[in-house]
Amino acid sequence: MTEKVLLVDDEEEFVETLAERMRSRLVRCSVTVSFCLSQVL
Amino acid sequence: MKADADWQAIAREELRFFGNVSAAISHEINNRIAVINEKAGLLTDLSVMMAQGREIDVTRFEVQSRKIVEQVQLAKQTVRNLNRFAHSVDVMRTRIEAAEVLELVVALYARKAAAAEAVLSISESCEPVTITSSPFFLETLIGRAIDVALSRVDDARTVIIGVEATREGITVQFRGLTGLTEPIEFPEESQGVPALLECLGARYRSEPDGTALLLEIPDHERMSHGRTA
Repeated sequence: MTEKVLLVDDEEEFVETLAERMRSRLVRCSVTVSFCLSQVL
Repeated sequence: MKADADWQAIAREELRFFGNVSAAISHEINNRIAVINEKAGLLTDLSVMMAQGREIDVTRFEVQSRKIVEQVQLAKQTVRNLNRFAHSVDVMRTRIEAAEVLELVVALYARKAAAAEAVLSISESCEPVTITSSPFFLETLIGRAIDVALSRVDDARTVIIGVEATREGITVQFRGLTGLTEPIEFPEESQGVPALLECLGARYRSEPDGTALLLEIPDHERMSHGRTA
């Protein structure tokens, strides 16, 4: 699987935990903490 | 005597402020619930993996359990702040510890400050000062001042907030700003602020160099003593 998921949220602990769960399901993902999605994209 | 239009403007302003703060607090509580939910899910995932025979480091359980407790503590503090804020409408006028009101409003605005990529910091030299005033009106004026300060915070991205006693009452200072000019302009949705200032006999002004916003609030007890003397 080559797809990679970018998780964006204003709550670091939330996205980090979600990423940990996704990685345990072999989903590649990275995390960005931001209050504004348009700043990330 | 204040005109009905002024009282309506004040009522609208107060309702807006209550709504703004409630929305921010509910988002904060929702964040804590979302984190706890994910961590509970992670613990379940780890248990399932362990039952399937995968080797799981037991410290992962300990770390996540500890973090759930931390999130619960944060949520409890947020609810305590909301409770204090909600009860500030109980009395129209009382003796207030200014530093306590500052701490509460700064806590209520932490998320908004983070969204503005700034930090609110209470000055270490903050004096213990009391004032007789309306707790909720005072919180509103401090909150609206923080709104202005966050829109004018300088490159250090820290608004330093302090309070000092004056002959008439107190002055709350918001430092670390840049380019602030008079008259102080408020967002479109805060047009009831002038009527509220008039009601308390308070005023906003800026330092001549535009680096600080000052909120001057008279002590109503001193004012009434002054009138009877």
